[in-house]
Amino acid sequence: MELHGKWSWALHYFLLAVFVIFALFPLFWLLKVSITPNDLLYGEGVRLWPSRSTFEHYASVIAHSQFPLFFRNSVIVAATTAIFSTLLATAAGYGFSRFQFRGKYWIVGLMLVTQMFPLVMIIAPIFRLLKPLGLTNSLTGLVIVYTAFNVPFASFLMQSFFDAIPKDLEEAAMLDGANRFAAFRRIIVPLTLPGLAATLGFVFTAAWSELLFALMLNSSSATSTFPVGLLAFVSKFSVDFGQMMAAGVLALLPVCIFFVFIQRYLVQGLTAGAVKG
Amino acid sequence: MTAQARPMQRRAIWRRAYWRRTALAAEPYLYTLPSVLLLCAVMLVPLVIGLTYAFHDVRLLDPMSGDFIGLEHFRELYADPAFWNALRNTVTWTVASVTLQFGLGLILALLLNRLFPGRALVQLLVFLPWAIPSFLSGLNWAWLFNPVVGPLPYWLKALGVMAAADNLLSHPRHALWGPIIANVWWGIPFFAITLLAALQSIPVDIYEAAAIDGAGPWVRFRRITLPFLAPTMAITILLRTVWIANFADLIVIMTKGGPADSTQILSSYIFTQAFQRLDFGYASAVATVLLALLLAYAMALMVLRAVLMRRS
Amino acid sequence: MAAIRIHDLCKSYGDSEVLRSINLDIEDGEFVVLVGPSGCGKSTLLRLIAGLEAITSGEIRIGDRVINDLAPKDRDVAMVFQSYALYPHMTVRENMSFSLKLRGMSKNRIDAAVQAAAEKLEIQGLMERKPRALSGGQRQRVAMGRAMVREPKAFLFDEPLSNLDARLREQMRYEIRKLQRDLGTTSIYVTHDQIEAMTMADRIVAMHAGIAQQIGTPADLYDNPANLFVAGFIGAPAMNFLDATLVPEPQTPGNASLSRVMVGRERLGTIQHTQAVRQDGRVTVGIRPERIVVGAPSSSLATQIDLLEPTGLGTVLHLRLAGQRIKVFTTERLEVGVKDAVSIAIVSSDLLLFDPDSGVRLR
Repeated sequence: MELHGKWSWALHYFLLAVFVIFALFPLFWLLKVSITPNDLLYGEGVRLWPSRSTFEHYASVIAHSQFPLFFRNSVIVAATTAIFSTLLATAAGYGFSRFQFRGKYWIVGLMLVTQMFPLVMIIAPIFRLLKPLGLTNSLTGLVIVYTAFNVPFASFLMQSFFDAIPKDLEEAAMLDGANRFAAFRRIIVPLTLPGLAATLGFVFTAAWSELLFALMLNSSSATSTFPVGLLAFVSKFSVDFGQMMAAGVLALLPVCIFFVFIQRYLVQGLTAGAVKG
Repeated sequence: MTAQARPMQRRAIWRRAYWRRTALAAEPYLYTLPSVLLLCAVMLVPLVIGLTYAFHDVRLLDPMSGDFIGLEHFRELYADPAFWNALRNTVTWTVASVTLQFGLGLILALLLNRLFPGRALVQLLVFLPWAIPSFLSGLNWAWLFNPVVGPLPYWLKALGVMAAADNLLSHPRHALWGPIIANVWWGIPFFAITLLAALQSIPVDIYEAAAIDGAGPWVRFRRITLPFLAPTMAITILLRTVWIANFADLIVIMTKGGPADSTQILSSYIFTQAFQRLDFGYASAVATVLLALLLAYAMALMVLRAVLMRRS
Repeated sequence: MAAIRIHDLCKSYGDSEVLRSINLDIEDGEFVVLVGPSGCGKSTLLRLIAGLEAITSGEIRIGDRVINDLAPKDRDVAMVFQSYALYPHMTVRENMSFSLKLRGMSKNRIDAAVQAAAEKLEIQGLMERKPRALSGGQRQRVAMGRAMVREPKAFLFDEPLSNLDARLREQMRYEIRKLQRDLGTTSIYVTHDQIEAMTMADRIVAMHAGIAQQIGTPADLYDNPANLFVAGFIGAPAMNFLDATLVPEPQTPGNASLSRVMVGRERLGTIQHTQAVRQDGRVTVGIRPERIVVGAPSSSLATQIDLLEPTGLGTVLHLRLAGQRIKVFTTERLEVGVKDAVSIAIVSSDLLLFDPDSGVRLR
């Protein structure tokens, strides 16, 4: 869309600046408080940058608190969930993309329904189901639950990536001597590496941020994930903002790094999914 | 081939054909079954169980509970002012969040649709909030609103919006706006990305033809951009509405539903009932009502869609 | 290399019949072209032979084996796709080696086979490139190479030249046909372009609406079309079809009838036919544009020029005869313009009669 004129560009850049500031300010503030030493915290509250900066909060968080443990738990849960979800979603997405079969609409419908109802509804039953199985207070239990939550969206995402690959390629491979699964493994999957990366990223981010089920299913700090740990920390030490903010910045780092790398693919993935409706 | 051998050969061929046909028919199920089984086990079964809890007295702290009590919970919630408040709040929360997210997201998408130097970087920066885990976004904004460490109370006072520099989140009447703003901050990128993708799929020729025909930018926006966006917009908004109505995390983190249950929405109310009071029965009853409302919403949409399609 | 026998083959998707009772016997080493407009079923037929779709009823044999229920990988046929379907993430060499690797052949033998095929196709210099770095013609050759290395019983071509420009198509037609002759592999080639069919085929199967309308050599289809569809599809510029009436002439001895072919009040010629004609004498008469002679002596037909299309080789004249349009193709250079009157002559034996409703050729 072409808009002409210097005024329109001035407005354009102004609005963009507003958006950028709005987007980055909270994160900036988080960073700012995290490096403000305790003695300046309350006095210099509203300054845009502390007169003295320090990394002591980070040091305490990493060395003296349980955050490394929470961090580790979250990484394990999120990564494992991402891998399992992507595996299941790749298979299901391929099934949706390449086949027309009788149960298809039921299965797709099932996946859509699970995305629509409030997850809080099943928080109680899942708790009561997992407790006797010993899967509460356990990372495994979380992985199972999170995988189920993420598989539908991941499947639709993978489906749209598979849809972009022409069916000729499998047919050529099947004539060359492969059965369908071999064609899938050797030809199709290597071509969807961007899609796999996007799906892994999506699921990792979703699992990393999940709060309510982690809170509900978990009462021991040994198996707390980061969100739960951070929340507990917040209510326990509700005055030590410096440390809390430092912990917050640390929580941001993995997902921000992930995001910077796969941002391109995220847009692609949502494009493929959303435009299809 | 003797006359006797032929029927046997034919049966062998028929059997092989049968197996191959069955294998071919079963293939799609093999690919999709693992996911389906997991979903049924972890989501469908608990859903059904959860629905039954609504009709039973289920309290985690009381090992003797579990009796069938019929519609008792529903009578309880009918008389519960917190429930009705939560219902009202759900509407406010959803409408405000979706409107702001969509409106601002659209503006952002339009801005990003023009080519300018540094666009890739700007895009990365404005989409960053989406990568932030929601709990962190909630905490972050809670701290921003906190007069002890955050600047917002002072700025709001300076702008005349607030009388004194206190925490917005402790004012029962306006506290809900805290989570709404956090939600908007977090949710703009999603709409912006979706709308940007849709905008970029509009073929350029159409704009060029319109420009040649003499259409100015506003006309082009109204007559080309909006109609093209409409289907994507509609679906995205509708799905997002449901998702946001169910999204309790920010409220649980920022206000825990308080002060005095004033910022509860239905899903956060369900959570606090289940998590804090450990009254699974009542929580499930409220959840059932929420589910019924969502189903009604979905059905209204289907009817609307059918009416619109018949009209066109 | 083997003969392919197709017997009573039918294919339906749900209620819609896409192929009806196809019978075709292809000899070992033959190059058969399936030609027809979009939707006629030619690609479906090819895919049934390849095993990419399931047969509804009927039988396909390759060699002596009934292959109805064999998976594509077990049928030992190779296919060249319209889009070439080259594996984008593999080099040309890997593309060509893939099928042999699946078979478990030793690396040396694979390399030798790939090298031989590459030399034949003159693509040795492209071996380490990926498909996206190749031109259309080069990709075509790689697709052929991939098929060749397998030494299959048959080659199946699915409109391989549709994505190339006209010049390249001409070139590739020659190369494909020459290659096939050298290798001697039975080939089935699908196209919608009748020129490809005519220039490349040993035999043509003209298809329309799921039925094989006529099977024969190019000359058969050109000289002796079985119905209106084949007559109009084969040959360019297309055959003229005029609404005419047959007026019986006095009887000749024997079972044949002699009739005058009348278009309006113009007499096109006299034709002998054994089949009975409709009561009202209505026929569709066909005459090829290149068969009509322009500027003949006075006892010929008077026409008026509507449009001239010079093609370099000759000129297509669009004429009006008794209110109907008729095209003439002549290689003579004529000094004529639009709205000029021109006289044409037609040899009676060049006239073909068709039933105006069913399209069947009347002999």
